[in-house]
Amino acid sequence: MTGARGVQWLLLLPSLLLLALLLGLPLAAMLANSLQPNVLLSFTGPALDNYGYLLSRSYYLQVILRTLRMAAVTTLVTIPLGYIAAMLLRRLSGRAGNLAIMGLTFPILAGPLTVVLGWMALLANGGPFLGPLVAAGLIGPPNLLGSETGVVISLVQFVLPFAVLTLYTGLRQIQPQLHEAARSLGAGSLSGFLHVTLPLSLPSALSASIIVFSLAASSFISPHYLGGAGQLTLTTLVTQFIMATFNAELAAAAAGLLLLLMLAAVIGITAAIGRFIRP
Amino acid sequence: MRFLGKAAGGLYLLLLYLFVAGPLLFVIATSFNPATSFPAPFEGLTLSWYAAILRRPEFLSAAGTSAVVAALAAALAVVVAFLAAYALSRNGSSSARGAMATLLASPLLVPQVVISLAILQLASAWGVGTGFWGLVAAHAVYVMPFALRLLLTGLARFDFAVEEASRSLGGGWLSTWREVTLPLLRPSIVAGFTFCFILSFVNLPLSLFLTSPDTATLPIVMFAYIESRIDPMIAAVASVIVLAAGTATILLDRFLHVRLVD
Amino acid sequence: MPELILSHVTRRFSGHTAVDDFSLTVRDGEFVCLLGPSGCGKTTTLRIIAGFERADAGRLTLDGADITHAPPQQRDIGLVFQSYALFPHKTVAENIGFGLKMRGRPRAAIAAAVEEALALVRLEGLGGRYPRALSGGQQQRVALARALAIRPRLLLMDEPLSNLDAQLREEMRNEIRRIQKSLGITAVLVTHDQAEALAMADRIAVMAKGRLQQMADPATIYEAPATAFVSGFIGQANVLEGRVESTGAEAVLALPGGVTLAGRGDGLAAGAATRAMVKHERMALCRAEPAQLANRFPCQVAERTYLGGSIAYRCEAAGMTLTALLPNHPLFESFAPGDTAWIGWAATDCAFFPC
Repeated sequence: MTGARGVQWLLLLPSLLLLALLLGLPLAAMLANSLQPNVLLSFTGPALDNYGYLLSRSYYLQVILRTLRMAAVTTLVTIPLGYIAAMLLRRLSGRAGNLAIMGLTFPILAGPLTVVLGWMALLANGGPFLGPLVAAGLIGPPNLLGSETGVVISLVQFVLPFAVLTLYTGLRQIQPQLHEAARSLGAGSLSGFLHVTLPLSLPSALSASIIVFSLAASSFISPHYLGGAGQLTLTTLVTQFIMATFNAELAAAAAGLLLLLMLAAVIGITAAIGRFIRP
Repeated sequence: MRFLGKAAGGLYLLLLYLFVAGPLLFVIATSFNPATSFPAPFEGLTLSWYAAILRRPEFLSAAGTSAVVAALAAALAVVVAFLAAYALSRNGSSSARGAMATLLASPLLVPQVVISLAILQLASAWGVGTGFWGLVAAHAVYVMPFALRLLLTGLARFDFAVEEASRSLGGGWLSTWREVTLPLLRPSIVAGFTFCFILSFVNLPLSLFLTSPDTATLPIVMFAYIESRIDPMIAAVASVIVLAAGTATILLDRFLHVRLVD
Repeated sequence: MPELILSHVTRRFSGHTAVDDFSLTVRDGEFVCLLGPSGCGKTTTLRIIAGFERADAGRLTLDGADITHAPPQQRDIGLVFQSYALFPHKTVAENIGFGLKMRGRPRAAIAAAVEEALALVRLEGLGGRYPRALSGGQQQRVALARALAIRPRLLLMDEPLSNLDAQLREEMRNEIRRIQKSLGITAVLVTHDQAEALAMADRIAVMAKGRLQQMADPATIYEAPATAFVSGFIGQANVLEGRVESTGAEAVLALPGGVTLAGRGDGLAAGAATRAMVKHERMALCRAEPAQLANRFPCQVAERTYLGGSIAYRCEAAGMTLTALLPNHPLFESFAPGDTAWIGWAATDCAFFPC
């Protein structure tokens, strides 16, 4: 139809404007701000001094490393756990499959704040499950609250539904006949999986890994409540700069650093998994 | 062997779901515990913590603020995402569609704390306060990709030939949209709005730097409350949210047959 | 009088020309089938007529009025989609009444027209159902009734029977034909199924690569194909290549092995590379020499394929591989692989086309 292209761009315009005005412009302002001098550092901006400062102090370097480590460990634990779950869920159909998917959507909708309340109770003093064992002297006190392990446990729980849903969608798109064809050609159940299902599921494993890593690295609630001041990550560091030390420029630099590291991680993950994806 | 395999698979899923839903179930259980500390051994069953919420007006007014912010953000997101999803599904070549959909999903990859900070700093660069609309903006840009995804899924099942049928029968653009397109896509639109509303309603980090005492959202009030102390009342507040989210999930599935995943 | 004229219509998409200088006249009350293989441009042509695709060049007139640039909703053309495109959220009656509602007709008039249309397609009493509660054949009838309810000047159908199973398809062929004739409506049907086109059309327009190959009544299309494409596309033919030896009312073609064939053809030039085509069922296969046939050769039966209503024999004769299709009837001789026999065909059944 005449002008169909024009109409298409017109319909895309509001969403592109929304992105540009409510995300692009604010991010640009924030990044510009991160190049400015502040109460702590006096230099003639714009310059990268704020970034240099954050990268030269071992305290902040630890925060950066901790953020990356937590996100990486969370991803490495979540993807296999989620993959197995998605493989099992794939066989369910009808009512059971429906319920299973709803069960995964529900924690996402309930929100991380309510979920983290549960973890605060469950991790404190061993909580209701480990607590009695500790009291009976069977195991030592786990001290998970305030530890990196505690944060990672809650992160895994928080991102698992996203991983399972992504992998499940990807696995469902693989025709079951392909696996059957491999079996009919003499492949065992395991080698059928290794040669057919696994390679075909790699694109969804890649998206799941990117989603999981990004969610974990950008999570605020879990490190704030379960990690506390001793386990700062870049997100909680940004909050500290804004709410405790009132240094907007360093906050902007920390946020810029987080964006940069996440971008690098996405590229790294894509390169690592992507080279196995054919065609 | 076969049976053992099935049993092992079932057990795995059971443990996984317990792990995923456990904290929520524990919060709900705690909200009925009369003990005043949190966490504490169970001492019985009470609804007094729910009654206590009603005596805290800041929670009720914050819930109201959250509802208004969530409704505005979801409405904006759904309208904008609908237009984009429609254009992409109808005309785009598959590669252009993929690239556009990825670009429009980009807010998902920006940490919510960073979105909040960026809007705060843009406002201060312009020398204005963020105010109520800064809050709505942050929520809208964050939930838009979720609406887009649901609408793209809905449109993938939409047979555009029905629009041509309507046009060949004499319907103009406007009446075709009103009579055919919008009614058929209503489930996706309603589901998109509901998901966006809930995601915005329960979100804390987006609001972190953008609220004033007048515009505190419910998660912000809970955040402040938890900073000072933790008691089962906050678990009761959380339980109400969990209950509402659960009800919405079930209603969407039952009546609109819409889920985040097909 | 609703007469549809396409003159020199062309539609290019990036890279290829879907419809190439296509001209066609559909007379008042006539049923025309656009027939061709997939990708030949027949659906694009239909969408240009309906107004969903624009013509890059050329002109369309309907009933004497130029409709080249009219939007679809102003053309008064009824369209039956391959997928039916019934509105799933509207009842059968609402679907059928939709076009009249868009035209702002009063409610009572719409209700009466819907009843009439339902009766026409023999679906009385199903007006309150939703499309998904209907069988494929019933949905097909609703799609037809919906297109007819607006009393269109022209009825277009895009592969309307392709989603039905074989039995229903034959029934619906006759049904559509009956309705079209009883209303006296001008109709254009797009199909890739030659049996459908031969059975339904007053005239068939055969398309290939965006161009019109031949426009004629079914018998002419079948008996006297104008091009090698039409000859090969309609029915099954033996194809033999050689060079023209002599032209005239009865031309002669020399094959590489030294064999000569008698046949007919237009635009032949002596010495030019030319293709001879003979329909399988126009081949005779018998034990005695068929002296009355201009082309006849002793042959050996190589393969026998039992097809139920007929039997196909693949034969080797003087360096040619030929297939003959014989009716499965006691009056016709039966052969087994290895048998020697005579194979032959009349010069009038042997069409020559320049390569």
